[in-house]
Amino acid sequence: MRPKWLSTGSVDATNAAWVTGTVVFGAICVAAGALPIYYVTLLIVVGLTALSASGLTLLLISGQVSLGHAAYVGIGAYAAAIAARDFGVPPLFALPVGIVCAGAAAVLVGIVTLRLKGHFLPLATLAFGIAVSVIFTAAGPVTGGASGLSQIPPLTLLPGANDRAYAVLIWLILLVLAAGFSRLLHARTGRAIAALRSHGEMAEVFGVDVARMKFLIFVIAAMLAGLSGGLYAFYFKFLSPAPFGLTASINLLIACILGGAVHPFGAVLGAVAVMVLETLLQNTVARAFGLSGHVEMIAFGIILVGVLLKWPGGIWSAVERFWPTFKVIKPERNVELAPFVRQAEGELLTLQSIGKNFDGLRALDNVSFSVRSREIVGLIGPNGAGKSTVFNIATGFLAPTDGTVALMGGAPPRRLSDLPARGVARTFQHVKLVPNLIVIENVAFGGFSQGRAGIFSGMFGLDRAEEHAVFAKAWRALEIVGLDSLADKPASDLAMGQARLVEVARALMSQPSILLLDEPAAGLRTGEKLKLAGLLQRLKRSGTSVLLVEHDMDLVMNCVDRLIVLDRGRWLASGEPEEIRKNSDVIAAYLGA
Amino acid sequence: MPDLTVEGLNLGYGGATVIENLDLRLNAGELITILGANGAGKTTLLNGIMGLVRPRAGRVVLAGRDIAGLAPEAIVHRGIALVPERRELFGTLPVETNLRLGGYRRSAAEAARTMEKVYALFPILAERRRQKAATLSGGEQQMLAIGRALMINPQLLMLDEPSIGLAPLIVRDILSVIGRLKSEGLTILLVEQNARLALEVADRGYVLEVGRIVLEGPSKQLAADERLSQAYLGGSSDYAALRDQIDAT
Amino acid sequence: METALFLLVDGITSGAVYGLVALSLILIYTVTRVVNIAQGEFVTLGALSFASILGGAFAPLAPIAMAGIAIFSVADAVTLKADLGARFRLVAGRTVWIALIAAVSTAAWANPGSYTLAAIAAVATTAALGPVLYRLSVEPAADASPIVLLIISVGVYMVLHGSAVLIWGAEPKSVPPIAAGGIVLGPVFVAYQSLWICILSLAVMAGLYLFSERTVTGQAIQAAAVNRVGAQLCGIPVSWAGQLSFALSAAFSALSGLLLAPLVTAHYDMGFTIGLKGFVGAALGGIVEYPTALIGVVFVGAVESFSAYNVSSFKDAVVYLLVIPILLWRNAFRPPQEH
Repeated sequence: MRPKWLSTGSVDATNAAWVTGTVVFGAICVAAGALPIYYVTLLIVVGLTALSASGLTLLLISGQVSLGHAAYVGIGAYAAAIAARDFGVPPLFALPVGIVCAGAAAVLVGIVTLRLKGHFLPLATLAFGIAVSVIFTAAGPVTGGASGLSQIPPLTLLPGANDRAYAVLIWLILLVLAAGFSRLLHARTGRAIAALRSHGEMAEVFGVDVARMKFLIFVIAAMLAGLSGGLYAFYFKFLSPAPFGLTASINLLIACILGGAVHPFGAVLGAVAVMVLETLLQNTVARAFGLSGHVEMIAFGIILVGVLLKWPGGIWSAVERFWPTFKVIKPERNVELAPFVRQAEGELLTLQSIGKNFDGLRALDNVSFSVRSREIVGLIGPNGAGKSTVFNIATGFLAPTDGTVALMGGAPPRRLSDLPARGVARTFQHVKLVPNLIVIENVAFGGFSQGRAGIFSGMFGLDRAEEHAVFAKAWRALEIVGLDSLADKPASDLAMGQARLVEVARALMSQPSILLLDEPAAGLRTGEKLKLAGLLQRLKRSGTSVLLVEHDMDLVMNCVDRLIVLDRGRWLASGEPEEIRKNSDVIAAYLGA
Repeated sequence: MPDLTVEGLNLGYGGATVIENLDLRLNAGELITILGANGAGKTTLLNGIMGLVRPRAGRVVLAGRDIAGLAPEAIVHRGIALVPERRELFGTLPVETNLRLGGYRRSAAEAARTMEKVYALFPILAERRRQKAATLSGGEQQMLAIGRALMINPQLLMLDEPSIGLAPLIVRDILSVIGRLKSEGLTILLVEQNARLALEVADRGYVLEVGRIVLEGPSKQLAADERLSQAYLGGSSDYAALRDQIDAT
Repeated sequence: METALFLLVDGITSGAVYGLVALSLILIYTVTRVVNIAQGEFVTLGALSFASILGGAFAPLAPIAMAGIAIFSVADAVTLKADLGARFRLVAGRTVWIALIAAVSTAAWANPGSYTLAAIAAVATTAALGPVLYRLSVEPAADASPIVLLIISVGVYMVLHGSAVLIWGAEPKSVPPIAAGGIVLGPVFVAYQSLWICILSLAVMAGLYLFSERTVTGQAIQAAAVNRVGAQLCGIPVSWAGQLSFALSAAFSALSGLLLAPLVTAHYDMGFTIGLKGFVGAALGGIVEYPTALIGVVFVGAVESFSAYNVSSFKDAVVYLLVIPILLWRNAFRPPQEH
């Protein structure tokens, strides 16, 4: 018996993608059948551009950039063409050869450039793109050089299929992918992709293997470009290096950004817009002025700049208001508090004689303490005392110079993404919510480590049950921190205190046994702090331990079982709140009279 | 020293209105505090006065002239300084440069004199003058942000939640510095979540909720107010009651 | 050995030119966070302006620049919230700028063949375009993401490139060097032009470095990029900072254009590759640190020279292919500054 709330469909935005895709496909079929052949060719070119652009858009959404993307189109094109022409591979199987070659190139580039920081990475992609196109020209014997590669056999899936059918095929592939990616953005992997862009480190803590995911998306983008290249080769049956050079790469980027590099449909919109604009300018401006080339270029430039100034998010952001906003309907039944904790016994966290050096500065010296099950421990001390460093060492962000750490029965995991599996969750000193997602999606992201749905499930809707469960839990988590009224708000709209509470809700999603909170009360006023204290107490009774860094004395003195005081990297005092409050060393260094 | 009067101020972002039809008055030499929950609009209000957000309607009258709609640079020129919630320091530049840039509109000699005063007020900054601002601790950064604002030699100083994330000892230091500045005649507008401490130093206060003023008056009166106590001035007894409540379930 | 030295000199000369362009790119990037794809076009505009002014024409860019400043003056005067006196001062100030541009252009026009006046006019009119472009295409997009800013600069590139052809046509124009001939340094002949290029480039770089690091205004301009809100709160006029950076940047690129023109002839397509190599050099050097960018561009110039000599069809490929191992090496030992 499916619960009622499951069948209402919790999201309209995802259905819209498939509906729109179907409608557009229908229009394309009609157009491909009815229009003169000249326009069918345009349709094919736009479709191929949009196909490459859709991969690039996905890449941009994940926070990466590829300034030489046309190189992968070229690799796919030449590889497929050479396999078909020179090695007798049937074109249908030569296509995958092209895709694989483009993917392999991306793997190589990815491995080599993985470590590059800052602006070096885009520069490397640019250099790669230019180098590849130059190689196409120079490697005459293989690629035909500047004079080109001709006599490529055509691709025929069905006997009697012609160019019009080809156009339909291309758009079928394009729309399926675009709609799929569109749905993906609101699924488990999509939330992770959005997190990659804004807060990679935070994403790791919730179980995302950031490097692997970025790499995967990079390779997918390259493979889509390769597919587009192969289809191009089998349509035009002639290749030259020109369409795969720097200009082509920049044109791809223009299509993506003009369309809106925030949504997969932006790629389609952008490709169409560029084609429409070019054709329009050619026909009107050229005729009006009797000149060509440069005047169109000026006009195109002006329009490009004008549109982007008005809508930095591209054409998509201008039409977005007609698109259903992503909302999650509140489920009727109530998820219990118990699933938010994972019982554990004994010492959950033990720090033994921890020391840490930073560039010759002794940040921590001989710090030892432990957190047992079912207790709330507070870590306090002056700014710069080393509390954040302790936090980072406890969770494996940093390695100690001396001493040992035992977290949930073993050393802290080598990979941060293993923390949720161990039952460890944390919040951060500076709020790290994903600004592009709404509040409830941010909370749902906290459950990433417990989900299974991957890219395929996310694209084609095989993850409904899992998604509903995750959102039901996310609602409950928001209710627990008292912010369920804000579920639909974009995370960027929250005040600081509210954002911190949402982070707590997010941390609960992975069912931690130990919860590490970094200044959760900053920006909260008394009533809200009281609620937070109540929440922590209830969590403790349900079986979660809490380690709390905090300056707010109301919360600290009234809510914790034990306090550890650090000063200048050293242990100063520990004990129950009442003792610490009266401790003269603590008063002198931290509390004041 | 000027008066500041806000009349019918309307502020918002995109489609939303955050501050609606707000009236406020600050007399010369006063220390006014603005209390309010998260999301009530306190930061937006300060940003609006500072010109970082353009007012949609209303006037902000400083010393008889309406400054609503001016660019932040012009408002700084009129003598208003803001210490924002996120401090907005120049992290990669040293303390000294941060301070010197605060005195951008002053002559080199004036700036040097004011810098000495700032160092006198916050000796730790003098110690760390060549360190990059991002390497300072939270409390030191807050002091630097205040120092940089003072370099403007402002007539009105606005502070947005200066005590967030700071150790109690540092909070006391900063609040005593604020008190000192007040006694030197500086007009101060203080937005603060620590209502108890804020009401201790302030002359008058306003309480902001969902973009509107719901309560105002002399600080002693506010401190004694029933509704306020519950929401803003809770104490240990409340926590004890909470614990009992939870134990009982 | 002689060949190697010759190529080295050639490489250093190109390097110096790319260096000025790299400097311009870095200047704009440090102040506005824009990777200015259109930078190469300032090189083209400077070179072509110089060629036509020298040939007796009135500075082609002057009317455009003056019109741009005038339009913005009117717009600002209308929207500025201030009393009449302030508005008047604003317009008066801008009028002075317009008058200066007119004066410089007229002086050059009245003295055709005067190298110095033509150079000044070319650089001044190109530089005056900078702030106009900033206000049209960068300032309104201050909050956009870096990639969007990049595409906007591509749009600007298209406008400038098309305009160059529209104004000057597609024919290359030859331009005389500052001083013909050269000197013989050991076994190598060094053209005077090459020497001038190196000297002027170094002078500009040194001047800019001193300005940015040693003056309060220079530091204020950098601060505007580090934290825009923070700069506003200090009373630093961030818009003016952006405009100044574009003006200087356009001026440096125009200068490099007219220095280079005698060697390669001035034509509408010269800017793009130069801009690209300047970008590569700047990025190799670490886009915010120009002393090292200098090394980067000299390297680019040298490699280009050597590979042109050895494997001319591949010379570009060699440069770009070498970028990747260099990036890896730099990343390991001197990673780019975080910002």
